[in-house]
Amino acid sequence: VRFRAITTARHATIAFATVLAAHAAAYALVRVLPPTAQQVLGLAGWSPELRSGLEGARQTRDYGMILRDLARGDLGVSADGVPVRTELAASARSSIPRMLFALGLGFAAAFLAAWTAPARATVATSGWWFLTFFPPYGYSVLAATLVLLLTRGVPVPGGIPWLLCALSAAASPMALLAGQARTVMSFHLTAPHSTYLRANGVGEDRIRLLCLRNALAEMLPTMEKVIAGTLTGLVLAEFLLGLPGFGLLTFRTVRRSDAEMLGGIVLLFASLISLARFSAAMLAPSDQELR
Amino acid sequence: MKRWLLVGLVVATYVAVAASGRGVEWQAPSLQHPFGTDEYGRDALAVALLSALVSGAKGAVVAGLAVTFALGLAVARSWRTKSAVGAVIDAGLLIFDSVPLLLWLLVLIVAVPHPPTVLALGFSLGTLPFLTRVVAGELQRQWRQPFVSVARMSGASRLRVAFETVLPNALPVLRPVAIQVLGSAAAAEGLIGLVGVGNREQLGIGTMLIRGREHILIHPLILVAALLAIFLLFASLRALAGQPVAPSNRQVPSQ
Repeated sequence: VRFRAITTARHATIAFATVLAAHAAAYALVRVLPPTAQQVLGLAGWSPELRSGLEGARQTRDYGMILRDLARGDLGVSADGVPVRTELAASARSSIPRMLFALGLGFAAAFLAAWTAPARATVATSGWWFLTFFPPYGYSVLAATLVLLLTRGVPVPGGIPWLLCALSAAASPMALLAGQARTVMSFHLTAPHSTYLRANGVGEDRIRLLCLRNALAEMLPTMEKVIAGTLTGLVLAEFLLGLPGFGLLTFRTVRRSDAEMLGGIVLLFASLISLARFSAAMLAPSDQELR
Repeated sequence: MKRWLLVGLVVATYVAVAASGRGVEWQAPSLQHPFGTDEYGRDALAVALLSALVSGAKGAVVAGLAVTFALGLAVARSWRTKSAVGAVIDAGLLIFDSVPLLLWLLVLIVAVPHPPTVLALGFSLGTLPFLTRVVAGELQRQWRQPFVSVARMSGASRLRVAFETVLPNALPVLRPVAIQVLGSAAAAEGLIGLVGVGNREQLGIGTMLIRGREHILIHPLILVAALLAIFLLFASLRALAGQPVAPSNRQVPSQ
């Protein structure tokens, strides 16, 4: 129990430190960027009034002050004069349900692929390989095209863009996870430990259940990264579909070089990724628990 | 034989396209141009075939670069468990991963004036955390396996065990990741195009995909041609690589 507590504390400390370091890195980057980035992104054409308004609204707190405010739970104020916390909460209300739905789809597909994997040495079918090969942002491009075609003069229910957005964010991680789950599971079903269980009269379903644990251990690093991948996919999908959420907020923030808002976004993204990593480290079965 | 046929088909397409000039833009499908022509007056099908060829070559180089970076870091991280180097690499990757990719891309676009270098570096940096963490996680897990201990006890060097036991056994997990990286690398220029940077006239399946979406109401066949190009690239790579072999058993180096 003591060892477990020390490991948990170590992982939690690492997660906290990396979240803060990511926040500092984003702050430094955005301070370097503004004028040239605005040119690159075509904001050079903005009217002088609009640009000076944007510059005037930008906060000029130094990093020490930002950290002090952060300790009090104050994330600052965006270039629009809206508290960063309010903006993030509004985007999270739109994006988190989509993200959870996309992740649920990915994990369900992986479970199904693993459960139905044949008990012989095999690799995933061409269909899965193609879905994995297809560029991840390509799904968002197709979803945005479909919405454009559907909305030509005909109002479509809001649920359709929502669903297409979640599906396009989930597609690539889902294909990766499912393809991997099928291959890994087949590998375990043909391994000596499964043969031993079969020889001892253990049922096929029970063997699959036991092998799932081994397969899960092999796939944990990918699962953890799939969460980051889904978040990135969601940012692109929301931006392309024009749906409110992290995607539009991130693009708008980077375009404006809004350091305060970007700090908040990075803090949130880093916390989500660190949380996924922390959970994966805690869930990983020890070698003694396997096989 | 099938492989050479594919290579022949691609080369013939290249020669045919190279010989043809530019015609009238936005032409409807005809016998001469089965997918019509694009906004530059080029045959859409020929552009799609050439894009598959160009993206395949570019993708292989970019994916190779990304995999080399990631494999190097993954080996350094998984060589010894609980090492300081591993902890530093882990923390660095996590910090890198937490900052939106868009911001890193902007930094690169601003810092490096050469678009192909931005593409290669941007893609390598963008996939580095994902690739390294997955590869290192799997290698580290393999190093702890009993059959690796057996291989070590049988006197095989650490390097030999790494190449003959650890890497082959890690393939079921690593192969799908490699496929995804290759597909993403082939279409990476489209991602940069989404930010609003890049040349729309250049050949590439990513650029074609973006153009297909932009012109869907004027000329839907551009998007169809882009999807065909992605499928052809996948089929060609699949034919060239052959059917992946399923791992049948844990491999231990022979004495």
